[in-house]
Amino acid sequence: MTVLRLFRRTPSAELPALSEVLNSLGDAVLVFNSDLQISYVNACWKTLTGYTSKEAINTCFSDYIHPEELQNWIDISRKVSRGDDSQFLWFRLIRKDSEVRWCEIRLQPLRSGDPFPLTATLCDITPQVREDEISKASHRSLSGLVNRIPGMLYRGRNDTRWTMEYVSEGCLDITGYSRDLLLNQTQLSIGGLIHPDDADRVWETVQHALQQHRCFELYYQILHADGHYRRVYEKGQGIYSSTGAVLGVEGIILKISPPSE
Amino acid sequence: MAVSLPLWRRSFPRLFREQPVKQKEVVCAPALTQLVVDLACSEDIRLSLEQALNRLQSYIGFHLQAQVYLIGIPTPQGNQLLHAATIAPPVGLAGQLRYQLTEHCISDANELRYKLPGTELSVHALQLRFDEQSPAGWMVLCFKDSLPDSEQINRVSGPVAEALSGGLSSWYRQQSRISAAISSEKAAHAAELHDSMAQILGYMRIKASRLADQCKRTSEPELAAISEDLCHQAQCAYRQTRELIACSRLSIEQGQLVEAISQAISEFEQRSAIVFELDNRVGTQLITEDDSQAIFIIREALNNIVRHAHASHAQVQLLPLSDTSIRIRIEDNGKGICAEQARQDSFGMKIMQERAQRIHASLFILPRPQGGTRVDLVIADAPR
Repeated sequence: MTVLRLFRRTPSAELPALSEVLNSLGDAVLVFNSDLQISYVNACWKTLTGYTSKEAINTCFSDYIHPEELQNWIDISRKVSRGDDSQFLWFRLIRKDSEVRWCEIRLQPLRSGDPFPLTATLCDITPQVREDEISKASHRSLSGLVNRIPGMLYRGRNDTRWTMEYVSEGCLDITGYSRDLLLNQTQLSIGGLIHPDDADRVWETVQHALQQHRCFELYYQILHADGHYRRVYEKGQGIYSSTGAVLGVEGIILKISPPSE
Repeated sequence: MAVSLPLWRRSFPRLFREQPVKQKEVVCAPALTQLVVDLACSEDIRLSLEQALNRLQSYIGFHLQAQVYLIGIPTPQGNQLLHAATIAPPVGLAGQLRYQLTEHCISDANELRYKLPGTELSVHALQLRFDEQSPAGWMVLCFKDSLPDSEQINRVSGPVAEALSGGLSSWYRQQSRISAAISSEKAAHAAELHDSMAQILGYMRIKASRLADQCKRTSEPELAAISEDLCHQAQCAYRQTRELIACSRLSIEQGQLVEAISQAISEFEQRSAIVFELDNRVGTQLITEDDSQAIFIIREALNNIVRHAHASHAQVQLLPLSDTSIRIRIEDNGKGICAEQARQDSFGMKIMQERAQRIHASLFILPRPQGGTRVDLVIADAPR
């Protein structure tokens, strides 16, 4: 009621009425009483939820929240009514047609120092959330593909230790060491695992290919964590800056299976 | 009227075997050791709990003038309010207790005492712990008037709660051992089937298909018809064997359906670029007649989305339709299902329908109005 009284203030000649301003907004504006029931909604509420203002008044806002996010709503409303600053929450709003929309609500007290009434803005963020989900799914799918490849994809520095910046999970099968060990253990490097008889040839072949900006192909032996050498095939290329400087190398190492008997 | 602990302990061996002394109308303490053993070795835990409650009610009713209930005990029939046959719970009590104790429970409280809103009843609830992972159950004592002090109640009911916890823990441990043994046996069968029968059938399927193709090119229609039939039968036998293998590999404990759905979604997410969304409006407590049939239908629907739908977005929705019925909707925004495709994949659809019938559910496979396919599984009797 207090809020409605606020809106009834006579607008000045130049400025439009406050309710007109609120109803023109692209976000929903809400006011909650001490029972967290809705006491005011602007026109955007209907667009967002499918419920009319009349249907919404005196209903609990929690009725519109997805059950899995209900506790978060209770938590932020408690925080705000205890005097914390403005709080926000991303949640799923259940529309009148039972469809779900992702929304961001920003909640604050109407007057500083008074726990109630609370005011809030409600913004539809479904497109952003969907876009984010698509991007995550695409990344997840690519990462799954890379890590399931029966070989080791890598990107590393062009040094004799072949220090790795990225290795795929296939490294475990090739070397017997996990990604974490190969990337973070300074004493462990791919260079150190190459058979001493092959190490010089590997280095020279790669440097020769890099000078000519060509791919390199290698066959050599690599020391597995089980103590045995395994024969591998590697195909890679340099990563160059626009001026032609070598920034690193990337490629794939595949295990050569012994011929079946 | 309270019985002192030493006196009560001395009376253990007499439990249940002795008739109450009619002259004084004293109800002896129940045989708690027997109670633990009965529960631990139970073949029907719900029945055993109800029988135990019949005995406990007369004891607790006599000493504390309270009604005894159990809630949050995950029996195969779901999280129901259990009580002695001689009492009738007040209307709404089950819902209130479930809300307060199992859905919004303060996890570190072993004992809760409160007045039930809108009634004259007061509640003294004791937590029953089964193991570290499972949510706790509760033994609830319901008092009509004022609530006696905690010490007085616990003197009578504390050992009973301990015995219930002990018996139920043993029962759950035994059940999980049985489930593990069944799963391991199923996995062994699956491995054997995979290595023997499925390999041969797979080979036959390919050869039968080639034979059918070659026979079609000859000018002998009879031969073509026979080879076509052979090819079809080989396909069916192969699919049925794969189905058996998949079923044996899929192990789900009753009551873990929601968790299994989340896991299935994560699994399919890893293997495709489709955005999967889970819209669960029924909470975590959802039990069907046979959860393994339900999860199989859901996984088959997800499988079809990944393999055939050409979709970018898929949604699994768990929606309550009433207190006991739910709708599981799996839909995608893909190319949709056409009659021809449905026929080609009719084996998968048939299996889904059969599984739905086994759990007395209805399965609808329809086009989604906005494009794509919609699979609705409506389960009429799914206690939550």
